[in-house]
Amino acid sequence: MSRGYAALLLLADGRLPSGGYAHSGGLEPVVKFNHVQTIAQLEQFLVGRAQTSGFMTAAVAAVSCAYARREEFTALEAIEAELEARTPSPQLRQISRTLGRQLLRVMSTIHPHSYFQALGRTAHQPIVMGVAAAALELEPRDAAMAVLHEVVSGPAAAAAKVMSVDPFDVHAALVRITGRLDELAEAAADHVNHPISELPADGSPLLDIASEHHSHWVTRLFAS
Amino acid sequence: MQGHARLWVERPLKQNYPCRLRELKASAPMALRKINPQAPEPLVQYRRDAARVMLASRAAGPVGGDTYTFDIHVGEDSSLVLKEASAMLILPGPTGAPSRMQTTIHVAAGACLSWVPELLIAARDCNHTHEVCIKMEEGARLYMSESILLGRSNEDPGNFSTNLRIEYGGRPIYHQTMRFGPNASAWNSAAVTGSNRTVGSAIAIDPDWAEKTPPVSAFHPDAVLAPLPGPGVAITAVARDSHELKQRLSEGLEKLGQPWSRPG
Repeated sequence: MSRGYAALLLLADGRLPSGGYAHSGGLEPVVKFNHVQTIAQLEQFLVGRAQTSGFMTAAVAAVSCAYARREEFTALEAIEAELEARTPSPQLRQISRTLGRQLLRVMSTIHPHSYFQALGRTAHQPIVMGVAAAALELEPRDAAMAVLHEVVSGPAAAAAKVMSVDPFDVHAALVRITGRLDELAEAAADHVNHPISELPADGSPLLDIASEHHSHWVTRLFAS
Repeated sequence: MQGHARLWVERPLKQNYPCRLRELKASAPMALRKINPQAPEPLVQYRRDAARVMLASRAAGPVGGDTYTFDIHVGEDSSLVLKEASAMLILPGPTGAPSRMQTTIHVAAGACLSWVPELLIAARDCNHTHEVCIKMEEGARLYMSESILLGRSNEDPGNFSTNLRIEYGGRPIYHQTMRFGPNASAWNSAAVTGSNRTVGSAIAIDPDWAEKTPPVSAFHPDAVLAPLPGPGVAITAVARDSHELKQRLSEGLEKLGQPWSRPG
C-alpha cells in the first residue's frame, strides 16, 4: 500500500455514518449466553470471528474490489450468490444487506462514482465495501483490511456496553490481533486470482446460532 | 493408500421394483453393501422403491497418508438411502502425512437422496481434510447430516477440516468450511464451537419449498433451524457430547413436520 492511506482510514473509520455502531457483531448474544465473560474469552472471540466469517467476508470484499476495478460488474451477482450460500443465518444475511444499503447510501452521496450504479439497493455490505474501495482507487487488500478492521473493532467497541471490562484491556487485545489481521487481509486478497466458487467458506456456527436467538429478544442494546 | 468407492443408482426397470444399483463397488477398506428394504422412510418421502446401501468398514481409516474418494450418482427419478455401519475414526498415520476423504454426489432431477453418515471422530494428532460436494439438479431432493466429535475422551483434536458445498440448479445454496485443531486459531472460541466437543448440521432441500421455505426456529440455546438462500433449510447445532448433538438435530427435524420428521 504505497498510496491511499487516507482513503482507507476514511473507509474503515467507525465514525463514517454507515450505521455500524448499532451492531455488536454477535457479541451481545454470546455474552448473554455466558460464552464470553473474560477479556481472554473476548480476545478469542474476536480472533475466532476474524478467522472464520470475517476472513470469508474480507475475501468477498477483495474479490468485489478487483472486479469493480476492471469494471466487470456482472461478476458481482455470482459473488453475491456465493456469499449468501456461506451465510446460513438468515438474520446475518439480512443485516449484511442492511449495512450494505447504509454504506452504499453514504458512499454514493459523499463520493459519487459510476461504479455505485452497478449495485442494487440490496447489495451486501462486503460487496459494497469492495466496490467503494475500488471507487476510492484502493486495492483488493485494502477492501479486505477495511472489512477485517470492522469485524474486530465493532464487537470491541460494543464490549464496553455489554461486559464489565476496562477499555484499555479491550484495546490491548486489539493490538495483539493487528498482525493477524494483516496476514488475513493478504490471504483474502490472494483469492482475486481464484474462481469465485472457491472463495473461502469458513463458518462460525455459534455466532450463527446466537444471532438467530438475539433477533427474537425483546430487550437488546444492539441490532445484532 | 488410495481407496475409491462408486455408487450409481437408477430408477426401477419395472413398476414395483426397487431402484437399480447400476454400480456398487469399493476398494478395501471401504465396502458398499446393499441392505434389505425396511419400512418406507420419511426422508425419502416414503418412496417404496428406494435403493438402500450401507457403507461399511470405515472404522479402519482413513489414517494419515490415505486418500479416499467416493462418487455417488442418484439418477433421474431414483431414490437412495445411504447409511453407514459405524463411526469414522480419523487417526494420524505412521508418517504424519495428511489424510483426505473426498465425496462427490450428483442428484438428478426428480431424484431423492437421504444420507446420514455416522459420527466423524477427529483423534489427537490427526491431519485430515474432509470434503463433500453435492450437485443437485432442479427438482432433486436431499436430506443429509454431518456430526463431528472433536477428540476422543479427554483429548484435543488434531488438525481437522470439513468442507461441505451444495449446489442446487447450478447455484450454491450452502457452503461451509470448518477448521479445528492446533493450526486453526480460536476454533474453540465463542464464535465457532466454544467449549462444546461436538458440532453438527443437517440440511434438507425440497423443491416444494421453492416459493416458501420453512421459518426460522431457534428451538434450543445451542441449535437453530434456518432457511437457506434457496429451497432448503439448515439445522446447526453444537453440544457437549454426540448423544446431545443427535438429539438436537432430531429435534430440529421434528420442527419441519411431515414428511421430514421421525427419521428411521
